[in-house]
Amino acid sequence: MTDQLGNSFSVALLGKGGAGVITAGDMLLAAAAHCGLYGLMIRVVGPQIRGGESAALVRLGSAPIGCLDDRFDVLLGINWKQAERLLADIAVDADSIVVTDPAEDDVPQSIAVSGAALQQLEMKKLAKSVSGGRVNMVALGYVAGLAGIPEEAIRHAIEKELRRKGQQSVDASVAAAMLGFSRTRSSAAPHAVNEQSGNRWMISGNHATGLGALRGGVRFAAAYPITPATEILEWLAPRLIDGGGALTQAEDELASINMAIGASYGGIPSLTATSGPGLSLMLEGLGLAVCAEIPVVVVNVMRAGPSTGIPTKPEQSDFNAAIYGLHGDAPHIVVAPNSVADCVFTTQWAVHLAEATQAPVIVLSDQFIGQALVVADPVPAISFFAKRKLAENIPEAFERYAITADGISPMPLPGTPGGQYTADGLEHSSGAKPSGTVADHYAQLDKRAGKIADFDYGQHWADIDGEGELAILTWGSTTSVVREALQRLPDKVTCKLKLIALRLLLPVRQQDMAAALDGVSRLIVIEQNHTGQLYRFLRAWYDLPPDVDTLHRPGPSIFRPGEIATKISEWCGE
Amino acid sequence: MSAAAPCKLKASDYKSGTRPVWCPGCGDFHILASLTKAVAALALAPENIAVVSGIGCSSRIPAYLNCYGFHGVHGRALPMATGLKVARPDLTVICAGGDGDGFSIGGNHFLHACRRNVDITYVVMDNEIYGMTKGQPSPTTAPDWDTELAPGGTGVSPFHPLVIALASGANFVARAFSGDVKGTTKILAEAISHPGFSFVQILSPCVTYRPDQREWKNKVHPPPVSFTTDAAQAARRVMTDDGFNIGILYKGSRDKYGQAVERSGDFERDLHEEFLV
Amino acid sequence: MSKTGKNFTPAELLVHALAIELEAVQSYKELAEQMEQCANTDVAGLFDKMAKLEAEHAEKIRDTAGNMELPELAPWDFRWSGLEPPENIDIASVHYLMTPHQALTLALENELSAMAFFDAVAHDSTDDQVGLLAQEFAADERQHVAWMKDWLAKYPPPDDDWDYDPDPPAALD
Repeated sequence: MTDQLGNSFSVALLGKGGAGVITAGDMLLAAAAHCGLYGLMIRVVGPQIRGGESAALVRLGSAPIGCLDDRFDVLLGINWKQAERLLADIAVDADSIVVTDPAEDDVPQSIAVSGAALQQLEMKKLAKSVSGGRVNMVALGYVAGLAGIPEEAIRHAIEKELRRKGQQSVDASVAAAMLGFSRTRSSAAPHAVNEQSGNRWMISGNHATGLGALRGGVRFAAAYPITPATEILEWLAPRLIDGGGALTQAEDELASINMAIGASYGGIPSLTATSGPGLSLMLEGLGLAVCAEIPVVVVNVMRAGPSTGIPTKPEQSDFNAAIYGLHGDAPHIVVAPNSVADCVFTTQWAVHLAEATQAPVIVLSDQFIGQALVVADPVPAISFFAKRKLAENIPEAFERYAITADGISPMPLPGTPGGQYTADGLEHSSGAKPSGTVADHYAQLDKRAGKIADFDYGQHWADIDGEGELAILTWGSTTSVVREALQRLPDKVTCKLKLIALRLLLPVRQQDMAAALDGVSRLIVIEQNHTGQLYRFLRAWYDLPPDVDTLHRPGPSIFRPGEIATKISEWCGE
Repeated sequence: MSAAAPCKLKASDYKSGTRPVWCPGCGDFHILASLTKAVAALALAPENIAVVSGIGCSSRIPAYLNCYGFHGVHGRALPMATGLKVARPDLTVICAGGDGDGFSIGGNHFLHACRRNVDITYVVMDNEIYGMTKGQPSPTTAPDWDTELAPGGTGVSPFHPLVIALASGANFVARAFSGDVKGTTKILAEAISHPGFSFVQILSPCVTYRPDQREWKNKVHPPPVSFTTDAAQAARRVMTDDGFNIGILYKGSRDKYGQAVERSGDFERDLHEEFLV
Repeated sequence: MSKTGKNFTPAELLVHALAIELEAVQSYKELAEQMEQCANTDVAGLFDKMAKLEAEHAEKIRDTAGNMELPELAPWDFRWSGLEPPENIDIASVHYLMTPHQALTLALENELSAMAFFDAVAHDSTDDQVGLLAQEFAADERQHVAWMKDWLAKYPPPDDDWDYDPDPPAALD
C-alpha cells in the first residue's frame, strides 16, 4: 500500500451467524491500527437476529478512510449460505481474491463468474486442529497476511480483544490465526508496527457523538432504545454517572424528549438520541422547547425510511422531518456531522448552540457514520463549552421573555428567588403570561426567529474545499464519498471544483452561502434520499446559480466513490 | 424536599395573583387554596417549588402560583417532572393535571412514573370529564354518561386510578375532595413530605359540564379504616372502594428512584484513553 | 377533636375567630375577582364590600386579642363543625351569572353559620372569659346578619332564567 488513498486495501469477511465474522473484522481493524494504518469497518447483517448471514467490510490505508471502496480486494467466505442477499454490497472483479473453504458449500454463481482468483483455505480443518480454535481466527490470520499486516500486530489485536476471556482463549485464538497467517501466499511486504499507532483512536460515530455531548456539557440524558442510535445512550449511561450526571430510561420517545426538556428547564444541559420513528414522536416536544425557549439536543441517527423503513441501513431522508416537521412557525437549529470524527465536534457544537440560543438543536447523523468503526486521529478537546445566559440577581419587574437585542433573554433557574415564572407552550407576553394578542405573538415570533437567525455560527456552518466555478454541495456521510471521488478525478477537473459540505442545515445562511457561491456558475447537490430533499430546500431558500443539478438516490446502499466520480465527470462535461 | 431554611409565608403569598380562567364554582379553586396552604404549612420557599402540568383546565394551575412552573404539552407532565427532579433533586416538584391529561394521553406515563418512584407528588384534579374541550368523556367517566362525542355513553368501563397507582408501585396513594379544603390540605402536605412517588386523586366537581357532581359533597366520606403500609392490604381495600372514600389509602416504604444529577461541573475523567488503539 | 370547641382556651377561640374572618376576607376577595373576570360587576362589588367588612371585623378581633400570644395552628388542626370554617361561601354555589340577591343570600347564610358557631361556643364553654368573648363575637355576627337582611331587601329575587346563557362555553386550549 502507498500513501494514496486510491491504493487502499478492502477486505470482506462473510459467514453465517456463529462464524464470528464481525469479531474477526474488529480484530483486523485493530491489528491494522496497531501497525500504523488507518481504517474503517462496517457491519452488514441479514434480517436474522441470530444465525443469519453477516459480513464485516474492512478498508485499510495509509491515509484516513471515510468510506468504502467500489470493490473488494479480498472476499473471504467462511461459508456461503444465504450470502446472495449480502453480495450486492460486495463487488469483486478479476483483480480480487476470493477465499473459500473446500469443506463448505460452493462459491455462489455471481462470484464464480466475476473473474476473481479463487483461493482455497481449509478453515474448518485448521480450526479443529487447535484446541479451542475457531474458523474466524483462521480467516483473520489469512486476510491479515494478505493485507501485509505483521504477526505481532495480529497477536496484539487478539490479545486485547480476548484477554477478558482468559489466557487459554487468547492462546487458542492466536494459534488458529497463525495457522491461517502461515497459509498466506501474498508477496506484499508486511507493514512495520508503527510507533505512532499508539496515538490513534478506534471509535464509532455513535461513541464519538456521546463524547461530543459530554465535552459540550451534557449531564442528563433520557433514553429510549432504537436502532441504530441505542449505542449512544448505552455508552453515555455509565459515563454520565461517573461524571455526576444521570441517564433515565424512558418508557417511550414522548417521555424521553419531555424528560430532557424538564431537566434542561432545571438548568442541566440535556440530550436524547433516536432514529426517524422516534424523531416523529418527539416533534411536539421539540415545538414546546421552541416556544418555551428551552435548550435541548436531539440526535437523530437516520436510517432508511419512511416509517419503520430499513432499520439497519443508512439514508439521508429525515432532512425534511428535521427541518419542517414542527407545527407552527418554529425556528430551531439542525446540524449534521460529515464524518465519524466530525461527530465529536458537531455534537459538542450542538450542545453549545442549544444552550446559547435556548432552543432545540437536532443533530442529523446516520446509520453509516453512527455504526462505522474507524481508526482515526484523536479529536482534540476544545473549549467550546455550553453557556446559558442565566438570570441570577432578579430585578423588580423581571421579564423572562424580554425582547433583547440578540433575542436571547436571561433564564432564571428554579431555586433563584424572585425569578419565578411559568414556562409555557402557550404563546406568551414578554412577562411569560399566556397571551393571544397580535403584539405579543408577533414580538415573540420575531424574538425566537431572530435569536437563531442572528447568532454567530462562525466558520463551522460548512466545510469548504477548493475553488472554482463548479460547485458540489453535500452533507453528512455523503461528504466522505464525494471527497474521495474528487481525489480520483484528474487535476484539470478538480481545479475548477469547489466542495461545500454543509454542517449547519438550519437556519438558512444566505450571506454565507452567497459568499461560498460567489463565482460559481454551476452547482450540483448530492444526497442520499429519494426526493432530493436538500436540493428542494436550497431552491426554496437560497439564491442559486442559474444551473443547478441534483444527484440523489435513496439507501439502502451507501454511495461509492466510483459512481460519484463518474457522475461528476459527466456533469463537468469531461 | 428542600433543605433550605424554613420560610414563614402565608398561603396567599404562594399565589401569583393571575386570575384563573376557571368557571366560578370550579373545584379547582379550592384545590389551589389547599395547595397553597399545604406548602405554607410545610414552610417551603416558593422559589424551591416547581409545578409542572400538561393541558386542560387543571393544568393551568402553575400560572396561578408564585412558584417556578412549566405548562407543557398534553399528557407529558409526568416525564417532564421526572426529568426536572432527576436534574434538580433539591427542588420540590409537584406535577398537576386533570383526569384526561393524566389517565388518557398521559396513561402510559402514569404507569411508569408510579413504577419509577421518583420523589415527586402527582395531583390529579378528577372531574370525570374533559372540561377544556367542552365535555367529552374521560377515562374516569361512567359508561352511561351521555355526551355529544359518545351519545348514550361510551359503554366503556372507567379507569380506577387508585388501583392502577397501587399496582404500578406508587409509594403514597390517596384520594381527596376539593370541597374539603382542610382535609385536602393535610393530604397534600403528607403527600409532598412522603418520599417517592405520591399520587393524590382529588375529586373536583366541574360546575359547567357535570352539574350532577354538586352531589359529591354529600357522597364523600372518610374511609372505615386509616391508611395502611401494606400494599396487599391496600389492594384488598381498594377492591371495595365506592369511589368516595376520602383519605390516605397507602403509605409505602419503597426506596425512591436513585439516580440524580449530583454536579454539573467539568467532566474529569479522561475519555481520550478509552479510544486509544 | 371536639366538634363544638367545648374545650377552647381564650387564645384558641381568638385564633379560630381570627381565622374565620381572615378566611372570609380571602374568599370574598377571590370571589370578587372571579366575578370581575366574568364581568359580573354588581356581584363583584358586593363581594368587595363583604371583604372589607370582614377585614374590619378581623381588625377588631386583633384589637381584642391585644398582646395575648396566639397559638399557630396547622390548617388541619382547626376545629370546625363542618368541612370548612363557618364563614366560607360554599364555592360550588357561586355562578358567573349569579345575581346580587343570590350573593347576599349566600353571605347571609355565612353570617348565620358564624353566629351559630359562636353561640355554640358561648353555650358550651365552661370558661367565663371564653364565654364572654364568644358572646361578643356572636353579637358582632348578629349585627352582620341584620345588615345582610337589610341589603337583601334592596334586591329582587332572581328570575327563573337567571342562569340562561345563549352562548356555549369557550374552549381555550
